[in-house]
Amino acid sequence: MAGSLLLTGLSGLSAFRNALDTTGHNISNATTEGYSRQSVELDARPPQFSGFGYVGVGVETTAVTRAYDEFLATQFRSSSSATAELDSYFDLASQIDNVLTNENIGLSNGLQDFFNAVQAVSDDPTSIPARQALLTEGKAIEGSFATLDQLFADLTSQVNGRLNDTVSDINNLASSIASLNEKIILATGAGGGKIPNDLLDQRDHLVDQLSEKVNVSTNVQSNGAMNIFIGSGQALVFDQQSNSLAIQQTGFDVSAIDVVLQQKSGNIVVTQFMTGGEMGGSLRFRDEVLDPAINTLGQVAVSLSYTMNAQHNNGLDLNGAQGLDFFTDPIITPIKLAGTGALAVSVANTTGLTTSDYTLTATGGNYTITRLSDNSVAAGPTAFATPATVDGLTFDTTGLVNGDSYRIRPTRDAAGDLKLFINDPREIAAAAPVISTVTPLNSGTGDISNVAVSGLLTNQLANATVDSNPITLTFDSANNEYDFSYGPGPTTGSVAYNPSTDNGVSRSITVGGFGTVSFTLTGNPTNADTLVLSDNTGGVGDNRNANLLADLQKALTLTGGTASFQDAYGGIVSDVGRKVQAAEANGLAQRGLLNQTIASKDSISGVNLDEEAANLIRFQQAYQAASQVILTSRAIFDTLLGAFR
Amino acid sequence: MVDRLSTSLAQQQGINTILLQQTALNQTQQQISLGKRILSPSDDPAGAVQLLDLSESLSRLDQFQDNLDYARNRLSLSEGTLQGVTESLQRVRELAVQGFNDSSTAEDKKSIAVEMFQRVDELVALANTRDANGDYLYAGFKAQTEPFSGSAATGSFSYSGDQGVRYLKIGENRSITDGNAGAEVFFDLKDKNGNAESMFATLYGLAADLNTAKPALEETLLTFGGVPADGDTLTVNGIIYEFDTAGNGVTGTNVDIDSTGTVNDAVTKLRTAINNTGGIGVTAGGATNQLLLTSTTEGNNTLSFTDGTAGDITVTRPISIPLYDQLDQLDTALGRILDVRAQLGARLNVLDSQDEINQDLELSIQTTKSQIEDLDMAEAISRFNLQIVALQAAQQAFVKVQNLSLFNLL
Repeated sequence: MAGSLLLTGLSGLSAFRNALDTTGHNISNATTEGYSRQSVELDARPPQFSGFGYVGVGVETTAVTRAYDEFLATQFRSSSSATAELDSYFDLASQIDNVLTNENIGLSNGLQDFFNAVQAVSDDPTSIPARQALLTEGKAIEGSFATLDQLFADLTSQVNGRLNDTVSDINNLASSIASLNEKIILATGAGGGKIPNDLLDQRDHLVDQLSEKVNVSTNVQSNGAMNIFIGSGQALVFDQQSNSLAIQQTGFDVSAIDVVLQQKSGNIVVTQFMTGGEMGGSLRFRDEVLDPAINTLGQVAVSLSYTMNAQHNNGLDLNGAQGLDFFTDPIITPIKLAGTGALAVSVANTTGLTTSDYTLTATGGNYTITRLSDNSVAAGPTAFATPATVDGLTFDTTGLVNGDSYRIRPTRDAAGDLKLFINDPREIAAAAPVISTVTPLNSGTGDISNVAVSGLLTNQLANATVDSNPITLTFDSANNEYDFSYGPGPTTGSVAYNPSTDNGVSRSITVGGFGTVSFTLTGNPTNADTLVLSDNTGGVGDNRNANLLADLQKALTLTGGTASFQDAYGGIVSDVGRKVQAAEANGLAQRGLLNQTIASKDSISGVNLDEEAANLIRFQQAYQAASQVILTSRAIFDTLLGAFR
Repeated sequence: MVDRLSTSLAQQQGINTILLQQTALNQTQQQISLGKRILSPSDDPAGAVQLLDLSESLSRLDQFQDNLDYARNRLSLSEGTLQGVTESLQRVRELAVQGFNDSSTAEDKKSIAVEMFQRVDELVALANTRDANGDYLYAGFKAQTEPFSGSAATGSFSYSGDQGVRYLKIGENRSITDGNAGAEVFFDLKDKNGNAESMFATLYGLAADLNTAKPALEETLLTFGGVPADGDTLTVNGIIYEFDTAGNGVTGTNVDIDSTGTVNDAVTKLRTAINNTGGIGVTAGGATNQLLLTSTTEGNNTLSFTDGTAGDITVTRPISIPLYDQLDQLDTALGRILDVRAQLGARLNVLDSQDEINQDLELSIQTTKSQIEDLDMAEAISRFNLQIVALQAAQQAFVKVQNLSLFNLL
């Protein structure tokens, strides 16, 4: 039947027109991000029965589908999250990496030059230029700490800026996805269940973009809406509604910010749940690289100022006065989170000092101190009246009241706080306060050396007992000891010295209200030989304290007596270096994985122009053929008409 | 293996390859232009930390070398000064020997004393030598207090320095003193009596004695021609020895010398008696009929005798003169200076050997540092060339592939 042939030809014409349109659509969108190749599904129309059998009546277009694989899409998003996280982490961390060993910025050279300057003062304690050079190097150390501290502060604000940007990106994406959800629900309804491919592509592309910001997981409702969960399961988009993220200051650090989920009931802090993507990378950088680096640098600063000050206080300056603090004394200000009491924290020793932060809570008359690095109880519960010394810190807890809560960050601000305290070259305490004299007329060979003073309290030198009443040690051969006496009393005592076994032994005498004088005894004294320890007046050429200061360079004053300043700083360098190296390697691996996923995904969804060109030819030929069918149908009809003419 | 490739991905992948090659090329280029293998710690974290440690060691070594040079300067200066002191002391000794020569007249001695007084002032000036920075070399820690005061004019000398000795670090485990305190070098010289006497005081004493024409002998020799007459006495530093030839006892507390035998017996008994007298400050010796008195203490000893029968006692060397031992003290001073100079020489030797050690160490650290840090240029350049070739190939391949499209043939 000619009519049927015409209709059959028409159906082909229309179907191939659809196919050509779709091919054109594919070609036009060959470079559109997130676009999935579409294809027209054609089915043969239900045939007509005509006694001898079913006669085909042409083709019909049943659907336009997009080439899309849900599994690959999910895999792509998780790879994309991981890659973006590592990229972001690497970007930030490599900024530290590049400066730590920079000869002009890094602390290492500063420390070396500083201690070399101390030795130069030791070479020539009376030289004002040498002392001035030491002050200059001290200033340079202060500058090095300040520069690194500033760099870290800049990175902190960079992290904040990135979090801020990421949060607003996420919020934009969330609201776009929610409105697309709405459109898709509408379109699906209007299309009688037919899927609006391009809207789905748009939404999927937005979710892809979201996955670069933060870890994302999805599920699709029966009405076509996609629900979005970010991080470790926080609902961002639900049906046609989206939630907003925001940032706010952390409770204990004005410079650090938290990510919060805004809800009617209030903001919920979700920082710790935000993994993956740029946000996860920034946060992980802050936790793993930046904060430890800041704290470790602070630990070096605290240790340097504390040990330098302690030794400097034990010396005498060029004016004959007790050494002042060399650097400003490290100040630790506990951050009050709650309560009305008072807490003071000070450094007790540097070997115990860690890079951790601490919390202190006070309830029921007892306080508990928690070390945050391993979340373990460092002290307590202990009554307020009993102060604790924990990890090199003394906690003065006597002012606490119940309900107090503190966060203590002992090393956080130390690097920025470190300043040179003395500013007059004459104030450098190169000399030791006590000098020894071997009485010239001794008949034996008893000698005394390495006289050093410790535990000297500030400004106590002035009223020192030793000042006007030297300590005289008289050898008592019967008891193998030096009997000593000093002061107006006099105060007497003895130190053991057996010439045959004790040669080179170190002994000390503690003088009340002054400090402890230690010294080395050598030689073979005869009975009644005397040694005298007296005030070092006019000893401007004395370099003993300068030598002790110089020795601090290699002294193991940090982390339980295992590290010098340089070692601890080297720790930051290698730690950051290793993390950057790992991030770089993981980033490469992850990127490879991502590329592979993209290739797989694109092999399904991507447009191949050669393929489309071939399709174009194929559908064009089919279209032309269908036209011929119509032509043929007309020819048949004309033939028929001609027969009756 | 994917069996279809989307056109935009194919292009992107082509570009990605080129970007990757460019990054690698850039890294190599930077390495070559800096000559360094490690551009940032992440290139080799362990190596970077090792480099920090090595550069600390190098920096400390440099400082040790500075310290060492400093010590060497001071020790050399000290050595030079003490050489002057030695020459001066030797000259003084010549003068003293010359001055106390029997043939010197009082006038000769006076003129020698004039030079000696000048030498005293010269030595005080030498002992007050300052280094280039104006610090006194021999003041101990009191580097800016003039350590020695006194002059030939005053005749009294004092030391206002202390016993402090500076140590300088010249190696990781090696310190050295850069001088000696003046007390040890010039001042606390023990004399025969165990008292401290300064070198200056010794010289001054010599000069003063020469000035007053006191001869300086530590010994005097008396020869007994026969048995001394009964009641003859010999007075040594106030102790009177009386010869008892008649066996009738002695006057008062005089020491009884039994001289009833031969003259040799009497002299032997006299020697024994003198030696048995405690605290007298001389020892008696000599052979057969001679009595040789030698000073054991410093100061002016006195000796006198009464000779009943003239000629019994012949004084071979002048008597009624002080016995005197300041020349010994001068030798002690010279010995001390030589001793200190020997110490200085030893320390300078130590400095030289430490200098070599430090330089060897520096070389070996430099070598290690270079092995860690420096780039293997040959390897880097061949890598660089390879990367250039690879990049060019990638670029050419990209262009060729981009030209392939079915649309070109439609």
